[in-house]
Amino acid sequence: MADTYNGNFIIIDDDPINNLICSKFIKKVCANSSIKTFTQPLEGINYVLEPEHIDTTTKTILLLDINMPATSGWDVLDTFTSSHDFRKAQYSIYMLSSSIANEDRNRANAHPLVSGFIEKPLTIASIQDLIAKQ
Amino acid sequence: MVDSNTEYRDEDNERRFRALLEQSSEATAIFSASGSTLYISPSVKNVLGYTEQEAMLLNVFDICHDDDKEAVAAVMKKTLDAPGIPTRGHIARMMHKDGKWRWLDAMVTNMLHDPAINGIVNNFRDITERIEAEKQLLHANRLYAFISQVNQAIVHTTTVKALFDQVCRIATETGEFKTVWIGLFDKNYTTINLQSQSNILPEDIPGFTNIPFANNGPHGTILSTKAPYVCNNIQKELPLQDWKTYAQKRGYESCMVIPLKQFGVIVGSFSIYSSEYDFFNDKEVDLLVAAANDISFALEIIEKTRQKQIADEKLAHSERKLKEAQAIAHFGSWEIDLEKNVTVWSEEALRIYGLPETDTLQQGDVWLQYVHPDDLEMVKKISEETWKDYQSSAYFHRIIRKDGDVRSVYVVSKFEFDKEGKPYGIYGVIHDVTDLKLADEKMKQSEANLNMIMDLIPQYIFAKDYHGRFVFANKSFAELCGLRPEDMVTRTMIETIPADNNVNKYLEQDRRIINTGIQHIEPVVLFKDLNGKERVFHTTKVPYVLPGTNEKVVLGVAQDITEQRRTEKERANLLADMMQRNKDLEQFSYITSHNLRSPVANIKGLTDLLNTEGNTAEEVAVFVQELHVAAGKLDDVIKDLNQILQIKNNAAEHTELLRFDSVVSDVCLSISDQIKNEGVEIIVNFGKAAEINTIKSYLHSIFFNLISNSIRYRLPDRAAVIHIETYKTDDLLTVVYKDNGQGIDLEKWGNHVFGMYRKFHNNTEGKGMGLYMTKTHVETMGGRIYLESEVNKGVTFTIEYPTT
Repeated sequence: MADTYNGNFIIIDDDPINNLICSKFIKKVCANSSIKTFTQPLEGINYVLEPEHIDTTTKTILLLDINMPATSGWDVLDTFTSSHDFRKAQYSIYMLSSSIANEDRNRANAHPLVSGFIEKPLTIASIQDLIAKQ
Repeated sequence: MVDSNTEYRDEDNERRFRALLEQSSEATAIFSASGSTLYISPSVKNVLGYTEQEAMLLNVFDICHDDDKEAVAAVMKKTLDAPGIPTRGHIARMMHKDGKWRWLDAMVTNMLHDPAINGIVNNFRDITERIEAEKQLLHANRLYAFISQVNQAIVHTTTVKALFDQVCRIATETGEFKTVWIGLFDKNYTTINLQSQSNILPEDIPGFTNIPFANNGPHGTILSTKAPYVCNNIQKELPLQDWKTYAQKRGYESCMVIPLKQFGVIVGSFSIYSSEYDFFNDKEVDLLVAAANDISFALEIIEKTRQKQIADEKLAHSERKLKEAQAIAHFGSWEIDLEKNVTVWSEEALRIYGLPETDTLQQGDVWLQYVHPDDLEMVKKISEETWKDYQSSAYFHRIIRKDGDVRSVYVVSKFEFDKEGKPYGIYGVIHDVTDLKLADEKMKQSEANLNMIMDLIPQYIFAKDYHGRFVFANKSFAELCGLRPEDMVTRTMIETIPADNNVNKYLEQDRRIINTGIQHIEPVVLFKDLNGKERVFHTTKVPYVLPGTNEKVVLGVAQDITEQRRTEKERANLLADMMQRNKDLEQFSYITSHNLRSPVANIKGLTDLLNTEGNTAEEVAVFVQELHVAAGKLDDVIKDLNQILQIKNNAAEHTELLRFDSVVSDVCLSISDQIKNEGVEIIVNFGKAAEINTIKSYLHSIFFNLISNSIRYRLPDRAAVIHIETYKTDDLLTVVYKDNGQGIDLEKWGNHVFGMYRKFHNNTEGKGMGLYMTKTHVETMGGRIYLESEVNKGVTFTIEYPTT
């Protein structure tokens, strides 16, 4: 199942170590998937919104960190909210955070664009769980 | 009687006798038993007008009145049965030769047994005059009886109708008139209306009811002549044809109509009808007029009685009303007759004094004994005063009634004077005002209580008129203005209220309340007291009409809430402070948990990776390198926490008096290289507040963080310029720090500026600890820090320390 998933991943997190960990684990589970990581949230969102990055065949999974300086994960979501519906339909967004505060988890679950909340660090099990839901 | 053929020897005697027989007023006749005349004396001519020859041919019954024939025959028979005895004959009417009836008195003797006479001798004479005289006397008696009965009726009847009925009845029964009636004229004298009658046939009565009368008829005549109308021959003399016809039908031959007057004015008529001609001779007329006058007099009496009765009723009614009114109002009255030294008291006056209501007559000065002993002197004095010049008086005093009840009364008295100006009486009213007095006293007591309360309470109570003039001020309010309440009243706000207060604003507000009638609550009124100190009042003002006048004023109650406001403010500040601290703590715990968790998660993720298979050697080296970095981050966070906790725990550290200039110099020295390299300019002004009592390391840290940030976030195209200035007020020492750098978008970050690990700029070093540390340092010393900023213009921090 995991091997068959060929959707793409985008990770936005200011912590490069976390991006490294995520990329490595995703590769281990979905060898065919392409993975883009951004430590600058604005760069990440610009990438997402560019027309040429639309993948109409499979959904792209976006892992979004919450605690970032200047632009938080929520700010990124706000920007994304104003985009076109078909673009929104193209992404499954998961909030990724080291926070274990319920506030963040509840907010993520309540957000219409967010599919789930994942606690850092990302594990093989959580990736498999993610793919299963696609 | 002698036979005419009988010879007489003495011719002279014969002649003399004959002359006697001829001249006598008495006549003699001799009848045979069959009634034929045997002899008649020549004097028959004197009695009945017939000659001897004519008389010889007459039969007694031929000339006898029909009504008398039977009686005459009876006498004749009686005479025949008793020969020789003279019998008084019936007084009978015989027809005179002139056709009129004559009353004849006769003496009859049966001499049939005497052969010399052989007849019935009848001596008769004319007594008509005597009979007439007797008849007239009888008639007059009848009228006297009528008048006498009328007078009786007048005495005994009380109503006009009864009197008229009686008069009519008496007129026909006693007065023997055929028909009488009494009528009254209408107001305009156009009709006469039957009131009472006697012997008018029922079917004729409508002809007497409300009938118009002719001017030339009886009623018209009595109105124009104001005298009785007499008609002794209706058929000949009455000018009214229909009445003539009616009179004929009912057998009326003469009539008399007499005016009835009341107080000299004709109001009606008394009409009498007779079946005889010439009935109303002078005597009749005089007596009937006298009767009519009596009736008129009676009418007046009855009317007067009626009027008096009405007046009496009215008087009784108004007296009763007065009594009732006196009782209701507790108003009594009295009159003193000075001559008799008695007083007439009204029932209510007696009630007020607790005396029996029937004892309306009292001794002149009896009232003095009921005067309350405490008031007696005053009452006597007033009484004496009034006697000096007979002045009217009015005053209050108390009385003690017999039953011991004390009443308050108000007495008004006035003298009454005769024509010479001498007083003959005093009259007055007495008003029981006990209840009023009691109510008044109660009112006064409650007013006194109210005033006392108003003076006791700390609230300021006042009333002002439309012109801002005080009509009332309680003690508290007067003292606020440094005055006594009595000094406030009638003076205006400008004259009383401490200067520096906006009196016009108050006046405007007062007038609005008076004009609209709507109460007003001003929760915060700033008031400068006599010492110039600002006080805060909570004021309620209501529109109010001054009792006893129509004047509209404004009534106000103000409460000094200065202290309350201060404590409230303090409490609110404290609460806000605590909430902020609580929020800060929450943030702190959130941030620390996140920032602790972040490297931990890294370490966990990297070790998970290391535990998986298929890692290249290079990958493993990278993972280990990153493990090292993550561990370093964890260590940093723990150190930061330690530092923060240390600050918070060191609040009790020794404070010292520090000079701002020396602390700022120390900071600049520590980063002198940076300052020099970046061309930073620092302009200070500590002239207004040079020193502060605080912990040196904190103050150093504050300036270090602020200056570092200003350098770090300067605008790339502009050298950093920093202004630091200090101020001092009673309560606060203020430091204003200002730069010209990038500034912070407060709309976006306002809530998080001073948050731990908050960074507002990308691509720069900085951990997001600087401002958090600064705030912690300021607040640990009881101060506050505020921030104003505009992006790309700079940022201004204001730090306030309480001086106490």
